[in-house]
Amino acid sequence: MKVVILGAGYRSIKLAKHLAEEHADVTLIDENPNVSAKTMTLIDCLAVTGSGTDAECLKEAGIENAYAFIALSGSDETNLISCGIASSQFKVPITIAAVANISYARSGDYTDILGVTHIVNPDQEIAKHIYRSIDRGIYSDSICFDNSSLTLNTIHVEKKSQFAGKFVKNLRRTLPGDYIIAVLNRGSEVFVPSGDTQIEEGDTIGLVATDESIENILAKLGKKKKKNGRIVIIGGTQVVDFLLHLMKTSFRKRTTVISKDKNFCEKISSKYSDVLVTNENISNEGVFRQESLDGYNLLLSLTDNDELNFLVASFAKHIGVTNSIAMVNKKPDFAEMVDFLNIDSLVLSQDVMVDSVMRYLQSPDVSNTHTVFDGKIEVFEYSITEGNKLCGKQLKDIDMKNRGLIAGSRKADGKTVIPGGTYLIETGDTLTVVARRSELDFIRELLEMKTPGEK
Amino acid sequence: MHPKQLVKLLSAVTVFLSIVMLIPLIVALIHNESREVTAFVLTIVPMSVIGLSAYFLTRKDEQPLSQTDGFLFTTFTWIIAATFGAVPFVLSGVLPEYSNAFFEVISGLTTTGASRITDVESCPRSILFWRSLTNWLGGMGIVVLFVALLPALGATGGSFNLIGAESVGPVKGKLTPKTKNTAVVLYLIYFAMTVLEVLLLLPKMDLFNAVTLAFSTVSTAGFSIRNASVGSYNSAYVDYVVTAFMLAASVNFSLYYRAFTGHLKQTLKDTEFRTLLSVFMAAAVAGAVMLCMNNVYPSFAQAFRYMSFHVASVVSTTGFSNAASTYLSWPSFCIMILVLMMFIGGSAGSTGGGMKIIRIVVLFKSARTSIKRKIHPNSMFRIKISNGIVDDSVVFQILAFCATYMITWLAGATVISFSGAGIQDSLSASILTLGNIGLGFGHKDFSSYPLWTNWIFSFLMLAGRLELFTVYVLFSRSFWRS
Repeated sequence: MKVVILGAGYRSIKLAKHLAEEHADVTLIDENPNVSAKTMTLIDCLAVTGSGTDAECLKEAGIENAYAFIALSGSDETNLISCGIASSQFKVPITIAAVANISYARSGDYTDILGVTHIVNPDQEIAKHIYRSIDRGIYSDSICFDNSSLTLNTIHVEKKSQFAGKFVKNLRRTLPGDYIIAVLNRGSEVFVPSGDTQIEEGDTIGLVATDESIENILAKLGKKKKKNGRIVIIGGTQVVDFLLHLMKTSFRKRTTVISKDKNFCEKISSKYSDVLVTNENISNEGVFRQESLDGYNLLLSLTDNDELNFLVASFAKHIGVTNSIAMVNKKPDFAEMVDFLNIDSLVLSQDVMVDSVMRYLQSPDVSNTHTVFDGKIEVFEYSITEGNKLCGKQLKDIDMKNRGLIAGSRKADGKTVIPGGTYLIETGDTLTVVARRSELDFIRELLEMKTPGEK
Repeated sequence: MHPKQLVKLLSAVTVFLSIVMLIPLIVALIHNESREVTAFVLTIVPMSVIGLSAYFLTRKDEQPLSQTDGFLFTTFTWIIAATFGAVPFVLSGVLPEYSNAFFEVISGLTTTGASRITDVESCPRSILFWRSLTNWLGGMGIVVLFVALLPALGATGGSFNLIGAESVGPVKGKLTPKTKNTAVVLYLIYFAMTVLEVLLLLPKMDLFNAVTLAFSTVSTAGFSIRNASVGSYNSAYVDYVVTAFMLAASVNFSLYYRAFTGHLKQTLKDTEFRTLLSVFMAAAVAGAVMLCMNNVYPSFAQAFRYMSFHVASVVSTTGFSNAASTYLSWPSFCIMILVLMMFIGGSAGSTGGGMKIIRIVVLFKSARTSIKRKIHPNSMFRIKISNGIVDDSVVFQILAFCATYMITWLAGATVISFSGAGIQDSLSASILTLGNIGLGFGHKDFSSYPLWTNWIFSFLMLAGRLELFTVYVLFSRSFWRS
């Protein structure tokens, strides 16, 4: 698969790295020669210096036989024009433009506008991502799948935790429920555990469970999940606007927005009359007390300043807010601080962007792809179509050699189960697959998946 | 820096090199050279054992490589290759003294072509073949070959840092998105060039001669299996074939790739390519005219044959000669032309050594802008090469490189003069090794230097081949602190 990416910013580099790891031939275009030179030493890709709206430069980047063109530069106009050139002049099959100044909230996904096959609004994608988890009341690090009651939850195993010292195969005796341990992170190693793996204190586990089970498990771990809590959102970014738009009225009534941007506050309060909007700078003295923020159940810090988000989220926990989530725009390295600062969850805008672009590059039978654990694990849904050789097989007959795991399955009638070894795969099933990214080739072959970009 | 990851890669390289050494072993078996068979087996077995065991101890490490790792990895790869590669020379009795053997292999790998062997023709064939093979390996680079052939290596993040540390030129470029494919393309071009030369040489010599000569030509190295170098074939046809391939090998290899992929115009417009051709033609014609005027050769055609061969040989830093020692009687103007060529060298991204044409071009252009700035103090001047602007930071790096190059040359000469060699000899020996040229004019034989100079020469050759900074950063304190 040949992919050309316009712009070599944070998002592009993350995406390029992801694609290069999938053996794609990636070429980045950036106008700054220093940036392109640096990119090449970081990622196994080609970097071309030039403008994305210059056909000659696109040619040099090998657009003529590219499968996809993805425009992620900082300018909406450049992204749209360059995608237009790519699709009309060079007949690139898939063109994706990042456009911040468009809302597809009401109209569904825009396709084929100006010949561009897909348009992605980064802020709206982040808002969707946040909404999916807070709507279910899950405030810890988790991945939710559309149309399914399954979630992947990241749980840090503390001392005296229910998990510490237990073997994976014996877990259900003490902690019954519909769940499966899909990933284990120990030190710098991330792997798929087998039944004989012993969970140790200090590990981080990835747990796939149904909504009901996760509620029980979190309760037993002392992490209460509150569906009807009060929410405070800090920040005056587009993400906040989109997030409020996604919320139902009853939800918005429990929500407070604090922003120092007066224009933004006016806009929000006229748009959503049911939200309490406060024009105040969160860094000012006494704001937390004045607005009695300690009474809230969830704080979302969504400003465009990463450092501020971290501090606000951490301080909120300190003064007694039950849960806090911080958005990370530019500094993913800070993610390691999350435990130290006692923040419940991070929203990594680059990861969200990668996920939302990647879904257009997958083969049609794959959906809901997410990468977790620092890009080492991939989770996706795979629909079994007719004629797949997995049909009629029991799960225990598919030897994934601990490189991956089928963690869940959604039947054609919408019922979700955590499958056991005797589970029989049928046409119409949608399997939730968890796999190590370095072993994806093996898993793809095993599951008879098509590689994207190949006809 | 990731020490474990480095050990893993270096041990893989060691195993890889031991596999490469099976080729001269096969040659020894074909020619029934029993002593050499033992010599190669005694090298290959410990190499693979050490390599494999170190690899199994560190095989689990998987980390992206930084630029720092690239420097360390490349330098140590070359040192490992020379350390083990020298053993067969010692065991076969060709060069019983280890430091001499080390010199010989470093000279081969760095494509210098200076030799410690006084009578090449009496050497066993397998040793001669190994000697020429070191030329071929070093020409395009060991690390590049390693990246091209081992899929696992090309896939790790930062693999471009490995190639970058080994390939020559001020700006390192890539041909394809995947580092591995870039390495494969480079070696394919290199391999095709070698095969083509062998085919062209076959009418005039046997296969063994043709292959070894081609190895040393396309790598612009200059080892010969004849005492009188290319001159011993005594054929104008061979001279011109070798001249053409020496020049072809000192062209940036990425230009061939561009030409093949339909950008021929871009190739022909390349500043460095044009400069190479015009410098070569000007020097060859001027020298030939001078030779004729002094009646050294009876006809212009003959004068041009000898002059063009030597110009190509020196500008590409090959170091072949087709005139035996008769060039000692050439007018000093001709010799001076050849000495100037020594400081130019091949193109960036070629197999040639020296300071590289592109740097000399930038040097001249920045001198010109400095003069213009004296006249128009507030004007803006940017240096342009092949229609692209050379960034100021690159210009600065080039100037720093040239200064370091000169300092290294003079420092090297000073240390060599310790051996009692004359000033001219010391200065020549230093530039001949630093520039990876190997052929001197009026310079005494390398085998007449005392043994300790082997290490000095080896250092100069390695520093010259890896373009100074890859080696010098290892001596920087802040490098080890990071």
